[in-house]
Formats: sequence, C-alpha cells, structure tokens
Amino acid sequence: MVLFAFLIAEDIAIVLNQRSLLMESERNHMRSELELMQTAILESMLRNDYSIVSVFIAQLGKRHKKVIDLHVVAPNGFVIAEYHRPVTAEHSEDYTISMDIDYGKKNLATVKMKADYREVQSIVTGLNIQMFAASSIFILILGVMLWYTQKKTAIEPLEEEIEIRAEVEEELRRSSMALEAVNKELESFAYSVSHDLRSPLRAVDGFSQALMEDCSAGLTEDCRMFITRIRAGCQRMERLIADMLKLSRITRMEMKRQDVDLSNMARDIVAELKEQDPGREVDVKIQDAMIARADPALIRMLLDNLLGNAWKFTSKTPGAKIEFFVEQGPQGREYCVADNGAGFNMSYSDKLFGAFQRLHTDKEFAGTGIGLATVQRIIARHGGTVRAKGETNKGASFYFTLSTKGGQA
Amino acid sequence: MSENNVILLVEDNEDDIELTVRALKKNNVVNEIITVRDGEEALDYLFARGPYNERPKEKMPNLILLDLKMPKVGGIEVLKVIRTTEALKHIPVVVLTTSDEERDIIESYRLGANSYIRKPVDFVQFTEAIRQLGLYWLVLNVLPGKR
Repeated sequence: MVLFAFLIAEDIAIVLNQRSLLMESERNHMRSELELMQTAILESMLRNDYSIVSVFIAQLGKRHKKVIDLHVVAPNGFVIAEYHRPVTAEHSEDYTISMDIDYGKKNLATVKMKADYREVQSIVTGLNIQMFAASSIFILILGVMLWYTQKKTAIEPLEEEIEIRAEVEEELRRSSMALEAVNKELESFAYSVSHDLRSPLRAVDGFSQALMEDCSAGLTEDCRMFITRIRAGCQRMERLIADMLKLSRITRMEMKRQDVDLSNMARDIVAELKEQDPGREVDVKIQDAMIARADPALIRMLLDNLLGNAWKFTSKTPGAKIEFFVEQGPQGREYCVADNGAGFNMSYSDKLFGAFQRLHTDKEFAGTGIGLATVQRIIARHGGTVRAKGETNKGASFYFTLSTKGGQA
Repeated sequence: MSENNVILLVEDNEDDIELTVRALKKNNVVNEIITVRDGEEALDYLFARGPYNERPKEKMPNLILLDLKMPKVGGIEVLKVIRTTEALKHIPVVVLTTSDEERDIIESYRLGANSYIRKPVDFVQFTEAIRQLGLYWLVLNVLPGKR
C-alpha cells in the first residue's frame, strides 16, 4: 500500500511537470501563430483596411478551436476587430496572449487572444491514464511475485501438512472400521461357538443319563462309574465354554471409566464369599478409601477373580489371611491382593496368566484356569500392568496398576 | 394332565427331540407330542396346509415348544406369525433354546413368547426344567376352551 501511494505521488509529480511544460509550449505555439499574422495586420491597418483584419482574426479563431476570443484594440480602446467563439461546456483553464502591432515606435493596436488549454488537458489526461496503468501493472506484477513467494514458503507446506493429516485420518478411520469388523466377527464367533458346542454336549450328557436310567439292570458298578465320569466331563466342558465366552465378552465390552471405590467393592465381594462358605474363618484386611478411575463392571470382575482365588487357595490353610491394599510403586499406584495360602512355584510364573493354564490340578483346587487370563485382559483394557509373586505353600501376591489416564490411577 | 392336549415340539436337532420327549414322558406328560423339524413345517401344521392339510381341528396344539435356531424358517419368524394370526395367537409358546444371548431373549419376549427357557447341558437339570414347564403350562395354567 505504501508502495502504491509512493508511486502515485511520483506519477502526479511527473504529470504536473509535463503539464506545465506542455502549457508553455502551447502558449509559444499560439504566440507564433499570432506573430505570423502580425505583418499582415500591420499592412492592412496602414491601408486603413480594417475589415481584412476582422477576416484574419476570424480565420485564426476558427482554425484553432482552443481560441475563446480575439480582440484587436486601438491604443484609445476602440475595438478594431474581434472574434468570439460560442462558449462550450468544455471549459478549462485559459490564458491570454497580447501582441502589439507597432509601426516603428508607434503602437497602432494590440491583439489580445484568450485561449484555453484543452489540448494540454487531453494530453495530460492521457498521460495520467498511462502512468496509472503502468503503476498498476507494476504493482500487480509485484503482488504476483509476492504471492508466489508466500505460496512457496508458507502456503504450500501448510497444504502438504493438511494433506498428510487428512491421509492419517483416513488411515485411522479405515483401521477403526477394520477393528469394528473384527469385533463383530468375534461376537458372532462366540455366539455360534456357544450354541454349536453345547448341543452335542447336551446329547452326550443326556444319553449317558438315559443309559444310566434305562439300562441300570445290565450295568455293573464300574459301568455306572464310567457313566458318572462321562457326565462329569460334560459338565466341565460346559463350564469351560461358559468361561471362554465370558473372556471373549471382556474384550468386546464397552468400557466406561468413572471413579470406583475399590475398598467398598472388595468388602462386598468378601461378604458374598463368606455367605457362600459360612464355615470358614478368614482374616481379611482391606485398606480404606481406595478410589480408582476404572470401568466398574470390569473391575468388579477383576476383584471377584483375585479375591475369589485368594479365598479358594487359602481353603486348606489354617489361619488364612487375605489382604487388599495399595502402594506407591515406581509405575504409580500399585494395588495388591495377597494371601498366605497354597501359593505357587515362581519358576512357572510365566504360565500364570495364560488362558486355561493351571498350576494346580482340578482335584486340589477346582477351576478352569480362566480367572487370571480374565484379570490380565481387564488390566490390559485399562492400560495397566499386572504381576505376581508367590512361594509354594507360603502364599501369593498379585499386583496391578491401572493406567493414569486422566487423573488418579 | 388332560389327554386331549396336544403339544407341538418345533425342533431340528434329533438328539434334542429325543431328550425332550424323554423328559416329558418321565414327568408323566402323556399328551400327544407332535414333532416338526423346522419353522416351515411348524407353520404348515398350524395352518393345516401342505403335508398337514388333513390335520383335524382337535389336533390344534395347546402348547408350543419352540427352538429358535432352525433352518429355513427360524423360531423368531414362527413366533411372529403365531402372534399375528387371529386363530393362533392365544396358544402359549415356550421358547426352548440353547441361546442365552440377551438379544434373543429380548426379541422373543418382545414378539410375545410366554416364557424363555435355556436348555441346560446337564440332563438332570433339563429334565427338571421340562417337569416344571409341563406342570405349569399343562396343569396349572388355564387355557381357553378348545375351538
């Protein structure tokens, strides 16, 4: 903008300069015209032929449109000849030129001409337009160059950045759609598994029972025992299927984080365990006011598993003790469920969290081995970690963290 | 249990048919049990058309045991038709199925099933379920008079 103003100022200066030059040359030109007539007028006046003077004047006036009027005046003021041009609308600045008609030292008359600068005007206007046009083109070119530079240095990198981001977004969208698809597949898989596996299982169980009932006459004690074991196998398989379904549901379930009182939850669970097993005496210590940011349903399942395990594996321990507390560890708040029960051999600890992996036989402690796998999955969904410490017959401790996503872990 | 009552068992699994009939018999259900193997057959029987167009009126069932997972016309479809047909909509329908998926349960009740029972794997439990079923629907429950 400054540039523009500067250019305009310069243009105006140039034009003004040109204008005054033009005006001067104009006057000179007209003066010459007058002087051409000087001799003729003089001779006419010496002959006392004043009408010729009128003719000369009229000719001059008619020839140059810029002439407004012409007067030939005698020294005493008498107007010898004159010419008027009818005033047109186009009236600009005017000037007057005087020329004396002298005979020797005697002044016979004075010719006065008034004319305007209309020709100058049109030239100046033309000049103005040209200068303006030139400046505009110059500015335009400058502008284009500036814009081009801007584009290269700022706009284009930005555009590239936007494109890259759009691509990344597209990728993310595709990934999440693929994930959705996989989840849907898993869901229908779990669904058909539960149905398709259970049907033949029911047949095996049912007909074994039918065998027992209808053919008992022909069955020995051993035969009946076999049938009992067949049925037990069926029940066990049914439990495995149910657990597997539960495990798959954990991964598919929607998670909603909120503040959960783990202490209260644990107390509820222990109360339930006591109800189902009223004969047992277990010393349970739960730290107060442990609040965590987690999905309540999933955390409930997790504590069910950990506390249920602790309860189960201390069933053969006199003076059973279970503790649930939280510690500040290197990775943040670490929760711990510890018991002094059957424990486990640390050298097998890497098998601990595998699905269906067990470190005890079903006879020692009933179970399908899905509990800790469930625990691990729940922790994983919360972005935390889980680890275990144990010693055979001395007890086990399970430590877990929940990720610090938005506040308290 | 009235001998005139007919039970329609809609089930495609041969083993389940055998076990269900056995369980019913074990619980002194002496009603006639008609078995059809898919939804299409079930509707044919109910409307007395196709292969069943000679079915006499007295043989309209008083209780329908309906499995959901069947080829051709499935249980849900059959349920829909029963509940939207004037002549059929009064018949008690007990959904007897393996599925415990929430959506199946909801859908069945939404479409007007009277009851939803999961077939347990344990046969003893299964028999007990059938016994209670039979007791309720065939003895305790009062049905409208036969048309």
